[in-house]
Amino acid sequence: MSIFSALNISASGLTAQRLRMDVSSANLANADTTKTAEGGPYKAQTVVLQESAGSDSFAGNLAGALGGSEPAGVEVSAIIDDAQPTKRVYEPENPEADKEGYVTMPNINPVTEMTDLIDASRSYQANVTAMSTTKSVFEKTIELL
Amino acid sequence: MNGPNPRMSILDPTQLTLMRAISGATLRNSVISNNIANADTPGFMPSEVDFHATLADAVEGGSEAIDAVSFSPEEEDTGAVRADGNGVDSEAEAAKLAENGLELNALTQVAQSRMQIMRTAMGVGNG
Repeated sequence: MSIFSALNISASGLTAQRLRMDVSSANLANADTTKTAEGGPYKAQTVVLQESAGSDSFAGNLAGALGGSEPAGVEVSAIIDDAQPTKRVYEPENPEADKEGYVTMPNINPVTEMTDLIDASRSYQANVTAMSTTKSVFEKTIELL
Repeated sequence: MNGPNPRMSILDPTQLTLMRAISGATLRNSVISNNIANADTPGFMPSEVDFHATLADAVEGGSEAIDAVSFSPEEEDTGAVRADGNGVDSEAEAAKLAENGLELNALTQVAQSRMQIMRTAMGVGNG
């Protein structure tokens, strides 16, 4: 067990939450994007998180070999397309409009994205707090030894 | 761990218990950090290390048992579960982390003071 594993765990949380913020920002920025390289409107992305199975580091392998289960933090398993249906808006002057004059808009709800953004930012702060608590404890320990 | 342990002569049971308590608290620190990191992971249930109880049981068994003690995190069955199956209460975890941190500080301080006494007795001085 490494004394620094707690710091790495909090760091994995920071990485995951930062990615959630990035994805939410991209969704918000593309809330009106009707044209993409794949064709069709932009599709909302969602980050799927999962518990890390264990690190491939020396410490992780050693803990596994010794039969211990070490907590290893969080990781992003996938970024998937949101299953929400797209909405159709009547905009005949838009070059992306179909024969009836409807444009297919992205399936992005700005309110949901904003709440996700706040949620991710709060979780990020929680991980920062955990990290600084761990850091101050270890600093004190090193000072004493 | 069978047979006499050469460390026993230097580390008395109290010091050994302190050492094990420090490693238990360090593991608990990792486990609570892990709970906080997974506060948004669907289906994740928080874990907890009850190193106090494990160590208290080992203390009953004497030095050998204390030396051989090992701690393992156990999944908690929390009542509050969100719609995505996550059972982490971030505030409670943050409070536990702060509490565990203070305990870890106290443990290292006591261990260090006792070590200092031993050094003085050995004539090593203030080093």
